[in-house]
Amino acid sequence: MNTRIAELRRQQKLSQEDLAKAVGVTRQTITSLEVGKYTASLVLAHKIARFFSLTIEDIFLFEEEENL
Amino acid sequence: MKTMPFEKRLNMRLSVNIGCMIVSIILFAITFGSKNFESLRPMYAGSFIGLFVVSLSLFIRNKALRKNPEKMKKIELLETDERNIYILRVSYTIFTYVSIGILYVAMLISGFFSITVFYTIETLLCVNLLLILLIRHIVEKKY
Repeated sequence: MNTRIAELRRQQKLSQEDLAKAVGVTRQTITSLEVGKYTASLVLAHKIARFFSLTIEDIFLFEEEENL
Repeated sequence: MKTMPFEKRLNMRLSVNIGCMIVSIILFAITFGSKNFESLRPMYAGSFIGLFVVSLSLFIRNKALRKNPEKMKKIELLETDERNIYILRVSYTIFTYVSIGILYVAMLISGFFSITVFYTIETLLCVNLLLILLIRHIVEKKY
C-alpha cells in the first residue's frame, strides 16, 4: 500500500527514528511502511494519523484493486 | 486487543525460569536415581542439563533487563512491534506447513525401508495435524 508517510515526515523534518519512537514501533517498520512493503494495522494507522493530525485516508492511499 | 504490561511479562518469565530450573534439577535427580534410565541416561541428562543452563541464562538476562529500564524499553519495542509480530507469525505458519510436507515425504520414503519408521512418522503426522486443528479451534473461539 502506498503511503504519504515519507513525504509528511520530510515536511516536518523528522527522522524515521523520531516517528518510530512517537508511534511505538521500530525504525524498520516505518521503512517498510514508506516503501509499501508492509501494511499498517488499524491501530498503527490511527497512531500515525493522529501524530500528523490528519485522517487515515490522508496518509494511507487505498486503491480499488488492492487486496484489503 | 489488550496486552500485558512488559514488566509484568518479565516477572512472569522470571517465575517460569525459576520453575524450569527446579523441574530440571528434580528430573535430573530422578534420572540418576532410577535404574530404568541406564541406557538412555546420557540423553536424559543432556536434556535436563540443557534445560537448566537455558533457564539459568534466561533468568540472568531477564533479571539484568529489569535493572536496566533503557534496555528493557528497547526489548519491549522489539517484542511488541507489530511488523516483528507479523514476521514471526508468517514464519511460524510457513515452518508448520513445510515441516508437515517434509514429514509426509519422509513417511512415504520410509515405507520402502521400515514399516516401523513409517507408522511412527504417520502417527507423528496425525498428531501434528490434530494439534493444528485443535489449536485453530481454540484460537478461533478467542477472536
